[in-house]
Amino acid sequence: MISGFPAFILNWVSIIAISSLIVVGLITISTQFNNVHFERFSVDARRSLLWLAALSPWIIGILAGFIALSSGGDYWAAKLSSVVFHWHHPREFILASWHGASIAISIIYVMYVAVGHILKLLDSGNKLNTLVALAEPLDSDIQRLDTDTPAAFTAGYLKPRSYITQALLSQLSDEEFSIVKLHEKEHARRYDPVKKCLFQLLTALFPRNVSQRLNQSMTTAMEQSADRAILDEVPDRATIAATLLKVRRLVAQPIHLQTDTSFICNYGIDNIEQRIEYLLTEDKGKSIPVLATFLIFFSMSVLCAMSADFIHHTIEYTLSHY
Amino acid sequence: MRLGELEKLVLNYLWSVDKADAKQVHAYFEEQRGGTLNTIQSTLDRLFKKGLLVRTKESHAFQYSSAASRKAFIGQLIRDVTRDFTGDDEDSLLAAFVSLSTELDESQLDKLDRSIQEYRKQSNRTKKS
Repeated sequence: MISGFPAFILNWVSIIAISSLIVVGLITISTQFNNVHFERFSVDARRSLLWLAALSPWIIGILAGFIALSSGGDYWAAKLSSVVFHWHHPREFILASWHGASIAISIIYVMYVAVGHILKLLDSGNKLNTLVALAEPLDSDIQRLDTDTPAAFTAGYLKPRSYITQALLSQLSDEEFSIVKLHEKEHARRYDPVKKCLFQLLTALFPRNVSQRLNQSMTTAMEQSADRAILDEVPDRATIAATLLKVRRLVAQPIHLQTDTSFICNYGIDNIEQRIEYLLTEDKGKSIPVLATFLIFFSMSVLCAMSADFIHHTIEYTLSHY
Repeated sequence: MRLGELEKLVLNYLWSVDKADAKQVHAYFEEQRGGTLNTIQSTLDRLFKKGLLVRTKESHAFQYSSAASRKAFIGQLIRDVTRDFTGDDEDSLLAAFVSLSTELDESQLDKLDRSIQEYRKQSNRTKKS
């Protein structure tokens, strides 16, 4: 048996694991309702809310652990009611118990997700390095790739760079090219590729359909942020929207080159519709609901602190009777 | 696919010539960066095994040429990278100007086109009034 501060930390990790599971479950259930739309918020609010959603299993897990352990032990000055929240043995931890097993399973799962993600990151980084080696600088902001595939994108983690292919470049006017360049420059300025990568890693803990939805919303928000940045230099919204549509038509590829998920094909269309609508509309959506967000996080932390103890007792009762 | 620095250089060279054997490739790089014939041979062999080069035996030596043109290779790299990260997310790693691999639905795009035209008309009317 482990005792003292190490046991306290292990108990906390155990509560984080249980709470994360509850939060993931609650978010999964809530996203099944069609009226949950991140799109009704402004781009900045949406980005913040999406990051909070992705981080919520960790934040709420840590808070729930704090609430449960501070009520049952003598570590913290703030003691909440030990009737509602308690953790009987904050300073004792038996590794060969279901708590130990839950920590082991959680760590193995998180490591599995993280290592898989890092391996893909390294592989993609290598491909990007090859692209970098084959690119030619067009000017200080963008590189040219000599290929027949029309595309413009920003890639790279620590030093994001923007690329445009010759096939696309040759079909754009000077104004259209500057719009594309400004858009990509904004992605590079905001380090969007590395943020996208981190967001994917965080949302990998959610079920696939939920993580896809969160990632789609984040992608749309990032694209809308980059579209909005163009307005500082090209105030004509219709020209920006028309360029977006023109490039969208140019990059459309034959069916055999596409990924086979119809969900994603639809997303592409939805994404461009949202972007053009956002550009042309005056209503830029609601700002972040600070109080509601705080209350949701607080109530979920309390719920998780209560549930963690309930689950703890339920499992112990079940195990002690079989 | 992992490509080393020399592999990229050799591939670039073979895109610029029709075909070459190991000695010709070595002669070209010996002037530029030195290195042994053995290194060039193993580099060519690795590129062949990765499917980036094709080779035919002529007399006692292999003649190497690129399996795909430079343009086709870069195009494939872009497609690989765009769907790389989660296997099915079309532009997960990139922040692309528009989605790179989604199906074109002309009717939906036409509808968007009409919205833009309508917005232009309204903006012009507002300016005039």
